[in-house]
Amino acid sequence: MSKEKIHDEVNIPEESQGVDGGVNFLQQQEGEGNVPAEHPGSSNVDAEPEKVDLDQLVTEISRTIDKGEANIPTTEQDASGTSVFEYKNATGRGHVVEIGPSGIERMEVFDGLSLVEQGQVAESVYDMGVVAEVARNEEVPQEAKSRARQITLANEFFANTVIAENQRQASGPRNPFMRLFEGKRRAVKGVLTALAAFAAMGSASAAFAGERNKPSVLDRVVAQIETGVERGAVRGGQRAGRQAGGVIDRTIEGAAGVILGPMDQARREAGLLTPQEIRQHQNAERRARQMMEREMQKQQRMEERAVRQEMRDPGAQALVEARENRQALELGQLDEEWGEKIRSVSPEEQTDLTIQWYRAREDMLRKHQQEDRRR
Amino acid sequence: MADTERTALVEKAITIVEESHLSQADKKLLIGRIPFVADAMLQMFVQVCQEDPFGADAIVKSLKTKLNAQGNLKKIHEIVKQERRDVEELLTTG
Repeated sequence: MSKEKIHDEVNIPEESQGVDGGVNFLQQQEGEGNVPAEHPGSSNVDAEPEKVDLDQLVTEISRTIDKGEANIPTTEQDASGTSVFEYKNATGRGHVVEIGPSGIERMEVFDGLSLVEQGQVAESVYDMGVVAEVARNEEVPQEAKSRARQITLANEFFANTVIAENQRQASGPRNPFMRLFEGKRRAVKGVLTALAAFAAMGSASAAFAGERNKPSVLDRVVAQIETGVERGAVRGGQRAGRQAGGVIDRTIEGAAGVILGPMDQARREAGLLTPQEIRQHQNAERRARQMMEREMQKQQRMEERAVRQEMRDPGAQALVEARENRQALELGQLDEEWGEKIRSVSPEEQTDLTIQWYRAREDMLRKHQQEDRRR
Repeated sequence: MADTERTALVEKAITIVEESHLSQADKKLLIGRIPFVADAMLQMFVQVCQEDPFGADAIVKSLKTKLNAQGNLKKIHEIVKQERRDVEELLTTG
């Protein structure tokens, strides 16, 4: 039976062809979004397959996503086109991923996974996205498209299986799939949840598949951690930041540099950094550390001056400012020390140490608040 | 997609799997999950299996490779990376 005949018989609605509901990126790009595809999925069957310029293809797809024309298939999508994927494990903790028109907007840090594993998951998501994009693009050679579709479907079934397993674990009854995971001492739930979330994303959305020429998904994860660090640092010293201007920015930069260390290590181990990138990151970390030390010394001198001034003028504003600057820097130093500790242990131990680091941070913030109240 | 369409699609997909030459265990593996697969993916499944009689085999093979990794992220990462490379190779060789 010819493939054209099969298509006629199957009679799949044109608007539902492909993974995403039939958006042909390249046609839309040219303003021909409503032009029917002649034989979706079989456009290259009879013709001699044309060699595809992969880079050109990816650029086109990327541009289309940038323009917000990508039709992202999701279970939940808000009016702005942002989709939220949320998966929770039995303890109620989960992973949230938001995909907007330009790709992944937000990813929460994965529970129970080492940094290396986070990197591997993020890279896998990206790889699955690339395959899914090929699967739904009508312009690619038939053989590549068929293979990409098979893989994408396998990813969908895989994600589905893992999600089902997760749900069953949460609700009690065991099932045959669980046998596959038996004997594992590690936190299976965390791994399963992450796998489910990202396998599902990789197969079903493919929204980020065109992101090859943009920062990688892993870079987004790094950015997410940076944001978290920034929030923490700002929370720790926002008043000082407002008053002392650049000090808080430098504190943030220092803290971010330190925290990026473990992530870099993960990326390095996963073979994702070039030697040049490694050197760049190491230099940035060293600069950040030196800057922090200089800033700390400067602030100590300022505080000493302010103390002397307060003896003459009790309650002087300068003292308050100096104290807050010092507190911000103390926080930065704490981050630095923990960064060192985290980097010095194995990936498996990093998660625990990160939790301890957060606790130490909270303790210091509490101490600063008490100090503020006392004065 | 209307419920009736969805039901028809699920039935069609299940029929395809049942009529395939997959082993009973593999059939069970797929059929158990079909009702939970997204509409667009289900349509693609039907299309792939009808286009290529060995489509279902390829899907199961890829699925089992990942399941056999038993949740080992490193292994899954390698499998997924390799699959992407395969597809890209097919793209460039056209």
